[in-house]
Amino acid sequence: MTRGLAAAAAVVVVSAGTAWAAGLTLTSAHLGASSLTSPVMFPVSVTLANKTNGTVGKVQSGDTVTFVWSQPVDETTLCSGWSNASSTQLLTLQWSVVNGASGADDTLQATGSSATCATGLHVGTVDLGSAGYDTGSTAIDFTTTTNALTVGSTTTTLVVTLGGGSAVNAGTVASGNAAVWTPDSAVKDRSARTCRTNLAKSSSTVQF
Amino acid sequence: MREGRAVAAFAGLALALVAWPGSAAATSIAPNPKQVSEAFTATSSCGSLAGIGVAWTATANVVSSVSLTSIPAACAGGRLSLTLVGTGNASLASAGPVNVAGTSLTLGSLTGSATATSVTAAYVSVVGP
Repeated sequence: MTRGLAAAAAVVVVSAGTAWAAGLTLTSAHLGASSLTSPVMFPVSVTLANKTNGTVGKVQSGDTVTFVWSQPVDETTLCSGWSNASSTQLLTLQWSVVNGASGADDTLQATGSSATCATGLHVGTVDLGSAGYDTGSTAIDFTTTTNALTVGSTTTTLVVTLGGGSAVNAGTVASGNAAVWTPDSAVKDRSARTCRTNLAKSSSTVQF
Repeated sequence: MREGRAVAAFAGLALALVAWPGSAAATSIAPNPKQVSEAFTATSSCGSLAGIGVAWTATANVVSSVSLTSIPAACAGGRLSLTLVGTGNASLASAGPVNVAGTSLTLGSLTGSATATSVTAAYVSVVGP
């Protein structure tokens, strides 16, 4: 990159006054370049999957959501009662599909708390890319959702398996947009870095 | 300094021709172009680009768009390009040039495929305004 810029600059310098390049005009006196720090802690992916023999496009107990962070997280920032001494955690805690207000997309988020996670599970919010997953005016609660965390040497994975939900207000979405995961700003990696404004999108446009 | 080196180079070439005025190898040489000159035009950056913030959206661990913040206001009207690099400064994906219209910018169309966890740095350049 630096070599390329230097070469470009050299061309400008050489050509500016040559007789055979008299038709060229240097139109800008501004030429700048810099190396920037790229994100280190960020959401790598979010994957929403349908359970075996489930209805595509409809949120149901048994459907799974997999979150991956780019770094080993400080587990205490995800759940206050967890410890970094263990690389795996398992917790039952409520998640909900929350109806979007005024036609906005529905969202998925951890809404429960427990003795272990007194302030909740700080995963963040998933915009599901459609307003059709929750057709009612209240949230669809999955009260017995299991949350399985695995902290690896370079990444962290959380597998959420929805459980205990009512299908009363669950709609079936035939077409929508990619889901977007906005991580909770409270979650940090082992060097206290947050995900800042980095996001992850699902590959699928119909969830579950 | 460059002018001095150019003069020295041509002096060397002339000396070589003079030293062997009748050599067959030199008789077919015709300087082209016949005029060589150079000039120097100073350039400066539109501001400190090192302070630009980088965030991205990843889709299945591939960078699908990049958001830049804190672009110097003086760069408005310039053309910005971005390159994401990996180990060994190998280019993974690039975007632009695009017009800078404010202090933030989202680059949604990247050429190449950058695995997010393989990106080690980002390089940005601005030409103009």
